Amino acid sequence: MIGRTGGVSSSGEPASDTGGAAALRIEGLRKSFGAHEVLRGVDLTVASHEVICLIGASGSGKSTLLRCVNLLERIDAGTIWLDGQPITSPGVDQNLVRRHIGIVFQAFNLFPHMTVERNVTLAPVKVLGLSRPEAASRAAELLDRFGLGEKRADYPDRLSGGQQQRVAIVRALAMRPRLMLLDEVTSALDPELVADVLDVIRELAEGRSRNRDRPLSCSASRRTNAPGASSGASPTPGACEA
Amino acid sequence: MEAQGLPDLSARRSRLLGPGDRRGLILSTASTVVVLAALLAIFLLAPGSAQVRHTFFNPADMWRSFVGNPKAGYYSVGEALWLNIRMFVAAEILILIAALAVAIVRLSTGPVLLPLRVVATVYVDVARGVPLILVIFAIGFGVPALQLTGISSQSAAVYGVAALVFSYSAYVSEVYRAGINSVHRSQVAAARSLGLSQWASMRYVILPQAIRTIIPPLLNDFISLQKDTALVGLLGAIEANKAAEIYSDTVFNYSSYTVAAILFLLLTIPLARFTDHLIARDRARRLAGAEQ
Repeated sequence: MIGRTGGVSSSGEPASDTGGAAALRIEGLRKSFGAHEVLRGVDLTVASHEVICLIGASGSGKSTLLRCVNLLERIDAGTIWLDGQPITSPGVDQNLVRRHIGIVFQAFNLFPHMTVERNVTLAPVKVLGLSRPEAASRAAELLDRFGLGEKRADYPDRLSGGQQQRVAIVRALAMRPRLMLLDEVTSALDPELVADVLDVIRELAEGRSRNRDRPLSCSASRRTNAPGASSGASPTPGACEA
Repeated sequence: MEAQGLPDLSARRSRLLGPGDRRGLILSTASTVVVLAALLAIFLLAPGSAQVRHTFFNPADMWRSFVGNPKAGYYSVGEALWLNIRMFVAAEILILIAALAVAIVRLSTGPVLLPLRVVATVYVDVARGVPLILVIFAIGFGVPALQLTGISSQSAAVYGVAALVFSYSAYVSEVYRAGINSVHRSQVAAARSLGLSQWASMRYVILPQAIRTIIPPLLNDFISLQKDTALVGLLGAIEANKAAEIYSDTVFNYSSYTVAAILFLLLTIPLARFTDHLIARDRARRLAGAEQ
């Protein structure tokens, strides 16, 4: 179940097949918090349009891995490539990298002082330089698609958890990222709201594969070489049952 | 725990006054009247009451000091208050800007900014540690003595404002810093993950939330600031307190100070109510009709 896992899914709007270059490649990624080594040399390759899920015990480093990919955490060793370009080398513009990687957090992390529309249009306007009407129409299109059209002018506090999480997904999608990282996006939701959000994710994954005539690949057999943390659990790409 | 069960909770009112609670309303009105009457009785029956009422609360003196009479050698306390208001507004705007800059410097993490961080930290320690009255003396008498062209020839009010800004910016920068720190780190993560720069995250995501949080403590500091404009009178600026002092020195009656006190009250109370209104409006806007 996606609900219990962190997930990595490549989206990539135009998905220009760069000679089969992996959408995301990670090699020898290490990350410690103090003396506690969370990621011990993680290797991972995600192809374009591939949807993979990370399954592991609580505290085994699933979120940390995603945060490393999004450069929210400074990594200790290893290299991460996005579409064949190293994004962990010094001199890389982190803001430029992040605009191509969407992340959705467990706790939504919407901006509570902004309406739904402002949440979704802030980054397209301030980062991509879209005009407000352009960004608003892009937002309206996405919000309509995910059944949130009527919530445009509402503040996040007024939405249910499921709606908030869908807004968070829309907010990430509005940047048209190459890669979407979903970090336990349903674990903070009531069971009856989980379906809402899973439908959205399923639609995303299937939409991509449909458009590209490519089956949604669920990699159940691949493993990273992460020896895991002291708990013995390892961040392992596992079955995706979306 | 003993299985005694809960005591009857129905009589406990958690609100100051429950809606429709007539018995509570009558009781609270009665107790308020009794307490006020007792305090008034003590004041009126005190041995020196007549003397105090004549010296501090003489209506004729209060009116005369309020309107002023330059020919008799004293200024209008009411008019002098205008200087307090102008000093307050000027100081407040400058403090809001300077304090934010100090807070952002102190919160910065880049190694390049280390010297600035040290300066900002030392400044906050010094400005908070030195009594305001000494800062006013230092700037009000020290800067003119430097005989710098353009800088040393300002009015007492300008030096007073400079001293207020110097002292208060340190306090307010700490309020800003607390407010910024109170915004959850996940908000920063969300903003940065969308590709917003550090500055843009601060400008559009962190500060707007921080400022909502710090409006009450900020107002607290500004009420204090309104009152402390009275200290600028020490440099000779004719503000309300100075005008009241001149009146009392001329007429030997302290009712002018009471007038100044009332005027300061009239200034600060609307500010407090206005802030309550802002807080309530923001809350209502975000929560109105929240079902769930």
